[in-house]
Order: sequence, then C-alpha cells, then structure tokens
Amino acid sequence: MNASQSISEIVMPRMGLTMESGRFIKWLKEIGEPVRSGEPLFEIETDKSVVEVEALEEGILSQTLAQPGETYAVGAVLGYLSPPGIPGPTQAAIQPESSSAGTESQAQPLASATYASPARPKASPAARRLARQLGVDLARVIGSGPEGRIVAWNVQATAQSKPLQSPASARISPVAQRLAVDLGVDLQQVKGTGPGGSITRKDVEAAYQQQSQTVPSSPSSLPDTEGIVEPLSPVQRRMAERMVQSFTSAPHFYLQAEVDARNLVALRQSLLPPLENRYGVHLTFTDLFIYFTARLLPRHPLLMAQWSEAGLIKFTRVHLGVAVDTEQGLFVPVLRDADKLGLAEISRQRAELAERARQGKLLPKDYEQGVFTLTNLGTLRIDVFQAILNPPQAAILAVGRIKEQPMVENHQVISAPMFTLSLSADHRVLDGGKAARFLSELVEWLENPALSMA
Amino acid sequence: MSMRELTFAQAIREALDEELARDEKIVLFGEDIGAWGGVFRTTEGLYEKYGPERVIDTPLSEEGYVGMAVGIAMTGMHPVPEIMFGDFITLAMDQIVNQAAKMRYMTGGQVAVPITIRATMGGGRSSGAQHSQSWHAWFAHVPGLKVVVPSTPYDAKGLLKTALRDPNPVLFFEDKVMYHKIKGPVPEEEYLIPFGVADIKREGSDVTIVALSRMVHTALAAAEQLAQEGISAEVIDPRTLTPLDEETLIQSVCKTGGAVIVDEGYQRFGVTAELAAVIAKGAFDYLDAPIERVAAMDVPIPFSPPLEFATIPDEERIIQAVHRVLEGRRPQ
Repeated sequence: MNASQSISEIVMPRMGLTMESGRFIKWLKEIGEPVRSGEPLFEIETDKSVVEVEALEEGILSQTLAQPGETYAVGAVLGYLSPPGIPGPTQAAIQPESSSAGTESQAQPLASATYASPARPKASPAARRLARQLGVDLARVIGSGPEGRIVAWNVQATAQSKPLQSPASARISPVAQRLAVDLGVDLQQVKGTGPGGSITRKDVEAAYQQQSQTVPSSPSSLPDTEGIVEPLSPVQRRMAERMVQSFTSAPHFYLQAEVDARNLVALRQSLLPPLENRYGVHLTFTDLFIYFTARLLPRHPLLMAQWSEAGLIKFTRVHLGVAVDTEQGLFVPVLRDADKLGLAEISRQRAELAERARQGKLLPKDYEQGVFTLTNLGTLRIDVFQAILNPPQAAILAVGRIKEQPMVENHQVISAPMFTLSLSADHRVLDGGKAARFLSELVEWLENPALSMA
Repeated sequence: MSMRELTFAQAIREALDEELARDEKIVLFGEDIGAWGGVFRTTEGLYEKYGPERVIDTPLSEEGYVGMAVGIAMTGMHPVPEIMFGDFITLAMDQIVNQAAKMRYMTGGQVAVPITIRATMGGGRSSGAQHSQSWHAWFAHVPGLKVVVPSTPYDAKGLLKTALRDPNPVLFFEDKVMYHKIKGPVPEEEYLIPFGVADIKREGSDVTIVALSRMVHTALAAAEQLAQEGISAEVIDPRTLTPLDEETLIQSVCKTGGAVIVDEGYQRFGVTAELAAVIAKGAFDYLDAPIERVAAMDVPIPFSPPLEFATIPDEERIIQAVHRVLEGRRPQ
C-alpha cells in the first residue's frame, strides 16, 4: 500500500466525553460518490442520539467497511476516502456488488492502513505533561480545543471521571501500543503472547477483531429464563451504567421542603398571556423553576461543584440540565448560562431542547457540561420523589405536583396550591447545612418571587 | 517618592537633560534637534541650556552623523544621535552594524563604543510607507547591540538614563504616537531601570500577552475588554529586547498555559517569532494551545488611514488571538 498519504480513513468519531463506541446506522453516500468536506457522510447512533457525521475532508468514498447495525469502537476505521482522481487502494479488489469476497478481505486493509497513517491523538504539550503525571491514556480523552485538540482540563476531567490507570505493567511493543491507541483497544483486556507475556501487534489486532465482534448488540449469553430478552439500546445501557455509577459511588442524601405556590401560580397566570403574545412561548412552571434555580445557584456555588480525587471541581457558569422524558428514554439537555437568560428565552430554549430530545436529535453540545439538574414529574401526577444524582453533578432538584392542599394560616385551615421540592446531593461535595440553605432560600424565592430581585 | 505626570516626550527630554548635566561627555546629534527643539519636541530647550557644542544640528545625513558619532564614541565621548524617522536608520546601517557593534570585539576590548542611538518607530499617523516602519527587530538580530523599546514615560526615562551610562552601543526606539498621547507618573527623584528586566504591566491567570512599546497600551486595553468577558490576561512588557528577560516570559506562560505576542514590527521573522520561540522552548510542557502572534501585516504600511489601521495590530486583533488561544481551554 503506497498511496497511504493520499487516502484518508473514515473513523468512528467520539461525539461526547463518555462515548466509547457507536452503532453504525447507514452510509449517506454511495461508493464512488464524491464527498465535500462538511457534507453528511454517515449516520451513527450514540448513547444519546442518532447523529449525522460530516466528512472531515474532500474526496471520493472509495471503500466502506462498516456494516449497518453493527457497533464499532471509537476510532475504528469505517471506510476510506480517496482524493478526487486517485482510485482507492482496494477499490478494484472490493467490488461492492460482488458481496461474497467482501467480508473476508475487510480486516486486512483496516489494520495495515492504520499503520500507514498513525493517528496520534492531537493534544497540547500541557495536556501531554498532565497525562503523564496523572497516568491518563490520551486515547480515552475527548479534546475540547480547536479541531478536537486535547487540552489540559480535558485530561483532568478524564482523570477525575475514571479511576487512575496504573501504568501498564505488561510489556508492550511501541507498535502495538500505537495500534491499540489507534484502534481504541483497551490494553487491560489484551492477553500478551509475545516473549515473557508481552503484548505484540498481533495480540492487539486479535483483541480488536474480538472487540468489534462482541460489542454488537447480540447478547452473548442469554439468562436462562422464559422471558424474552430484549437487547439494550445504547441509551438504555448508558443510563444503567451511569445510574449504577452514581448511586454506588456518590453518597446521596435528600432534603425535602413544602412550598406554598400561591404567588408562583399567580405569577405564572400574569406572565402567561404577555409571553405568549409577545414572544410566542408557552410559559410552564418548569420554566419558572429553571429561572429561579439558575439565578440562585451562583450564590451557592457548592451545589454546582463536582467531586474528584484531586479536589472539588468548581464551575461558575450555570449550565442547567433539565430532565426530559422521551420514548427512547431519559435525556437531560442543558440550558447554557441559564442564569443570564430571561424567562421568554428560557421557555423557548427549554421547549426546543425538549423537542429535539423527543426526536432523538440532541447533539453533544446540547447535553454536555451541565452542572446541576432539574427534574419535574409533577405533570405525571407524582407528588414527591427523590432523584438519583446525574453524575458527575453533585445535586439534583426533584419537583412534585402542584395541588390544592389544606394549609394552616393564621390559625385557620385554608386551601392553597402547594408542592414539594426534593433536593438530592452528594455528601462528598457538600453537607446538609449547605444544601439546606440553598433549598430554603429557593423556597423563599418561590413563595415570594419578588425576593429574588433583592 | 513624589510623582507627577509627564508625557512620553517630556520623560525623554528630562532624561537627556539630567544626563547632559551629569556627564559632559554626552553630546546630542540630529536633524532639527537644536534651535528647533526637535520635530517631536524631545530636545526642547536643551540647545539653549547646553549650547551648540553639545546639542548639534546636523544635515540630513544619517550615515555621516552616525559615523561621526561612532568615531567620537571611540575617543571616549558618549554621543546620542537621533534618527528623526527610524525608517532612515537604513542609511546608517553600516556604521551601526559593521562598526559600532563590532569594534569592542575586534579590538579585544581595547576600544568601547558608548553610543546611544535614539530612533523613532511606529505607524498610525498616515505618514506613508517610508515614515511608518518599526525596525527594532533588525538590531536585536545583531550581536553587540542592545535594543530598548520602552512603553511608558516612567520606563522611557529610567531606561534612557541607563543607556546613557552603558559603555556599549544601545538602540533606543521611541514610538512616535506615544510622544504626546501617552502620559504617566514619573518620580521627581532620580532612578534608573536596569536592562533585561521585563515588567508585568497587568497580572492575570488565563493567558499571557507579551507586548512592547506602544503595543503595551493596546494590549492593556484589550486585557480590560477581556476582563469584561471573565478572561484574566497578564500583560508583560519585556522593555529591552537585548538583553531579554526570558525567565519572566517563561514563568508567566507556565502559569497561564497560553501566549499571544504583540509587536508593531513585521510578523515575518520578527520580534514575535523570536519571543514565540523562547516561550515555546522554555514553557513547552505548559503550553495548552499554539502561541499566537499579532504583528504588522507583511506589506508596506499604507498611507490611507483605513488601510494603515488594518495592517497595524489593534485591540480587536489581540482579543481574537486570545480567543483562539483559549478556545475550548476552559470547562464551560
């Protein structure tokens, strides 16, 4: 293979901080079709949604390896782009129509082409230094810099989100290590067959083959049961993993407070028509909760902090997550800088994000980097509930149904709209007193919204 | 210390005045610097005070009077030739580069050349392509010359007085636009500022902006705007290019992880390139983004004001460069 420099790989992209593999849905171009840089090239399903992936370069789609419905590790080669006018390396060999020869020959160009253009992850020197210090494998890190460059805080975030990897004790050849990084193979899972058990290139290739075969959705061992096992969707699997991680690692505690909603109900009534008329938005109670919570959070920064072994990670920008229930599962899109948004803008963005979530069209930028989550099951008739923390966040606020209840006021029992707020918090990050002060101030604001202007 | 506000030109004039009074070996040469007081008023009143033998008007002959100055410097005087428009220092290039810079070395230290060449730099006055350039980088390239690029009246006075006591050739660059526009506190008492000591003009933690001469003020204005967006920029003024205070630059970038280097000279092979190389080496493992350079565009400086301002670095270009350095670099 000599044209290595001119042929480029199409790889499974990493669409979010936690994505490790993606399910390939379909090609949006035919073999032989020219592709412009930035044009949608294929579709994948990540943990969170189905996304169209754009071509990074111009060229001709010369070879497709990825099969619809199969799952591939991040960085796995899905196909090849040839420059216009230069035939692809194996275009002649793999006739897409003559299907039988295709499958067998796919594995070969995959590995050797990877050698031809080793994709060292792009990282700043500072990020590399930090990765060495913290023992972080850069292949696991998502870059937030220009063109996906890994910068220092990305390494920090990765180090904090995963247990630190001890430097690999097994010996490994440089070629094998490079290949493992390129193919996204976890070296902990590779058995070395070289001298003294060292890991060789062949071992990594074998592990990669196995990995790309086992990851696909067909369950490897069915439980012995009469029930029907329905394979997990990536969204389901991801939710399960994250909830287990959160519930078993973060020591949760819960605070509850009842809120007299008379003023809040009146406030919404008074704002509803003008917001509808002027901005065309339909103001919900959730919008009001977002509004007051976001404006209160900067006064209680620990509620937006995150636990890490290295120390508490603090955030100043109020990116507020709002749980959205959809047929595909639970999504938590994020309103960025929510404390700076007016009510109409909150309402508009919340509705738009919820709609995108329902259509499975959320992009990573829509749900990443939240610092606090709000979840409201009031519309589903739930009076009180306690939420599991949305990792790595340290607090989540659960809102129950507003309903008329008996209330004692001035020694009289009266009827008033009331509801219950439940705050779940991570005791590693903050204690009951700090959480209570936040919650009680929030209740004060909700009961007397004018206080929020003080 | 008791302070008063002086303009950049007044600070220069005061340094010259004090040193002329202190050391009779000091003599000024230049075009219109005598009876006229200098076109930028930096020698105003000195002719009357020190007489035609120490404040000497010359013909338009940079090569002649710089050569003469190098000659009398070799006899023990400390001449101070002024190049009214720094662009025309090219005429005296041989005298400076091949004579002044080499003499001490070639005589095995027997002959020193204590000469302070004052030259202007900087555009922004619609003076056209031959009266707007900034040639300080050329001299920083030559071993045997010291190069001073002050940004404030305080620095200008303290550094010029140091230059006038230095036994070696010093090129002292003064930005024309700063002469009357920039004012700042200058102590009544005498003080000197050593060469090779950078000054942190503004402390910050997110990004380091290195700037010199007038660009320090542009960088400070940019830093002020960046502060409004929550970006904390450190502004460092090297003050002298040779000797260069590498340590302060490197330490700052180790702290911030990113650097934007600003200079009014040309970008290609310029001051920004050298400073970027120093930082890239010294702070390599701490850089979290490529170093950005903001310098004059590599074209002759246009006469047309809109075009001229488009070629010279301004706040907006610095802010954009800072944004590029910080892109994706902080948790949102």
